[in-house]
Amino acid sequence: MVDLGERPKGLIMRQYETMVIIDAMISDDAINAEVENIASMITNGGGEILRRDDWGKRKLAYTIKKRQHGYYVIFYYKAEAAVVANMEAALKLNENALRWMTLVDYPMSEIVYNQDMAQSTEEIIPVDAEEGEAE
Amino acid sequence: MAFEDKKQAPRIRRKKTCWFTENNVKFIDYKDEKTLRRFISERGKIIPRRISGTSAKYQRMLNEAIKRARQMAILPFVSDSVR
Repeated sequence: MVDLGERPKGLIMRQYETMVIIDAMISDDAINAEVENIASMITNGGGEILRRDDWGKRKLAYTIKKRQHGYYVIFYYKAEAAVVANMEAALKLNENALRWMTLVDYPMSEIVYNQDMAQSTEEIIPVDAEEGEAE
Repeated sequence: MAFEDKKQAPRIRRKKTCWFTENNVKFIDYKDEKTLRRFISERGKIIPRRISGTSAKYQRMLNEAIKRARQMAILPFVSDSVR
């Protein structure tokens, strides 16, 4: 968690995590440009990117804006609240950003995404599989 | 008679244990699709505690994680694989 003690008001830097889904139907260069654009919005506002996870193209669990696939990217960063607000305002106007979610002070996960994970559902055993009858 | 026969055979139930407690999980992340998938039905519904045996603490965390994952299209709201 963040230390709110010493900093003057208005300059509070908190840790955020933003996951953005970018339209995967656009070209790879365009996707890269979008990702860099978001990254620069954070750094230009005085934020510091701690980590960036690229999940790459992934099938969406349901269609968003008639798209089946999306490019997932996650930013872990420290920034002021205004930076986040500006970024979200820009994402709202961005047609290529299908969806995003920003979480504050969310524990940084050690989960490193691997491409096969999304498809390999066979080895996942539902907990109720052996318990046929519901009480 | 048949009624009594039924009564004489009590069902043996295994004790359900919480998967998260057993695995000493500290936090359930919405990005951890593999884990979350274990706790949703084929339809995409969240499996209730009474069936999965998850402890209350982890069920709350799990619910939040699954709902977040659904928003980000990691998990389905409704799975259309079953018709």
